[in-house]
Amino acid sequence: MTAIDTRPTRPDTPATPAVVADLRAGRRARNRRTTVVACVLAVALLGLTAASVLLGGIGRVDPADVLPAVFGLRTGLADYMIFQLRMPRALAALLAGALFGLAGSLYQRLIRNPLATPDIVGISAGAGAGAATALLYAPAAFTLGVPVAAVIGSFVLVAAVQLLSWRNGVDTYRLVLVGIGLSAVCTAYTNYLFTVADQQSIAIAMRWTVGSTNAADWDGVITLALGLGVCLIAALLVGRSLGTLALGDGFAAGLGTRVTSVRVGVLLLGAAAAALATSVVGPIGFVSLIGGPIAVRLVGIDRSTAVAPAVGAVIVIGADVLAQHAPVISPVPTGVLTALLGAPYFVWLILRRRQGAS
Amino acid sequence: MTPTVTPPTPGLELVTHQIEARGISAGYSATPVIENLSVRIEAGRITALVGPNACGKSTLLKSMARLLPLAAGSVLLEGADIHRLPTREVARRLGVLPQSPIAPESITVGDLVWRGRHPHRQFGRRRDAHDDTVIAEALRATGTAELVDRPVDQLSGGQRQRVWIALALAQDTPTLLLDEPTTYLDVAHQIEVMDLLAELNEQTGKTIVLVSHDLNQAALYASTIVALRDGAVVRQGTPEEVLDEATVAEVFGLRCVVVPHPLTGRPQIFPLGRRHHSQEN
Repeated sequence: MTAIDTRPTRPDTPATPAVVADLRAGRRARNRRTTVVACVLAVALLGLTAASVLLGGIGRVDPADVLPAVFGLRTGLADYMIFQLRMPRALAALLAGALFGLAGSLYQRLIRNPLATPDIVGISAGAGAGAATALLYAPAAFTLGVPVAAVIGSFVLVAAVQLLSWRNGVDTYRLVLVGIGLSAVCTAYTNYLFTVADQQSIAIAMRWTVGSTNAADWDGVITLALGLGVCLIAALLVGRSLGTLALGDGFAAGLGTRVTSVRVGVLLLGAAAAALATSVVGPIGFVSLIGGPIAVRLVGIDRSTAVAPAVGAVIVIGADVLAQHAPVISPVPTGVLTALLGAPYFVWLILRRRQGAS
Repeated sequence: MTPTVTPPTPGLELVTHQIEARGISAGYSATPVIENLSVRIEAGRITALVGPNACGKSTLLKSMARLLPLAAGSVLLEGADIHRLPTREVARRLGVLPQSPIAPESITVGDLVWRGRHPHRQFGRRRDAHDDTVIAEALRATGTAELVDRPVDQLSGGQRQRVWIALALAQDTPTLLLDEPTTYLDVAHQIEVMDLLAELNEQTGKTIVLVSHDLNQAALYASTIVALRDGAVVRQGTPEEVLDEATVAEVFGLRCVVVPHPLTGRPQIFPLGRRHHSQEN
């Protein structure tokens, strides 16, 4: 081996300390960028929440009474409107958006495809079906029963989608197709439930078929807040393993990742997050589809799962404010607006993939 | 030349075999690809696994890396049963570069190589100066330091392969297994990657095992060649011991002429097709 000419064929490479300095500078720049993004998102969330509470859409409050009521200086109607209608609605939109954003980012990174989000592969529809069943047949268990039923429905859907699309591994296209099919089945079932139910349920039916924040109350907000807390902690625990799993199962295992347990854990975690959000605001379409890629653009893939919840929250509460105030179309259910934004993006994603494949 | 062998783990100086497979059977379905196979990989050397398609060389590599379950037998890594070691512990001792790995969309070189530190990370601990030094060293050794902020999907095939090797180096393991690291590369990039592996082996005493389709490259760079056929080891030894006309005929069913390399003296293979037989005589 000594006789081999080992003169370097590459240009001179910099010394290790210089590379270390480079790495650190790069990381500082990215930390700065992440801080800026976090601040902008926080300001947007505050602004939109304030807009939602102050402008409102439901319940007429004399504009002069709004601010005093927020600070607890008014009683009666203004107080009720602000604290029982507008605030839970705004907070439910914010928290549900965060859960949808988290669920989408987890699935997109796990399945390595921007199409594979809980709303596309039918998880949200399954959760909606579970929640609607509990709502109509076990109204006594309303507060806790609906979110639990939603989570169960979503787990059933995860299992069904995985089983039906499994053929020596999961092919993403089969997964999406099976998901869209099962999603239609679940939506049909939910619609059927409401047609055989009494007249009162029709208003509620709207929430479960297109997604709406109209009926959010404090119970829902508490469910969402607790759910988001637990899901964020769990996501923190699996976040690093998601980074290695993206390199393929073999590579991930070689890097010390327990591939099967991480995969099952993330599938269930994403489903639970989407299901909890769905149990309160219904299947608000496409939020988890849009949130993840925006987060990746903003801060890069490694930090995207931490930022995706904030992006999802901005999307839902922004859509909610628009749904209440946009000229001509308002008031509409929030889910209609997100679908209006998300559907073209979904089609674009599919077209772009097909071009890439041919 | 014989590189100086540094014992990979203190207290295990007596172990001369970095990896040992004892009577292993493994495969993807009911019928095993390799059956009752035993092989010893020496510490501090470059070992090449060669053989025809479907001979079981990739299966052997994956079995040694614990990426495939064993139907029978055991694999010892530094003297310890690899299937009894915790996943993370294996990942700190042994790095694997699979064939054609996937890069996540739009990831940068720096972020990709950083993933190599995964087995060394502890929960709640941030990236520290040691991580930075190891990553910088991996980037420098592979000549990819200038690419650190570039997206991986914009790199050439040779650059990308060097980045993957940088990731494996960032894992900082005494043993490195590579499945056809030069496939899909043009000849200059192939030599570049092989030179890099030889340098790493010489400078750090890293044990390197690679699956290769190119007998001549294996002869030039490896100090040990393991020839496999039908899931069994046909012969193991130095290139001179393994690469003769009879063995190549037995393993690959190929007639050839073996000539010493004009500079290194290592055996080089010149295959003989049907049309060359008449000229040979």
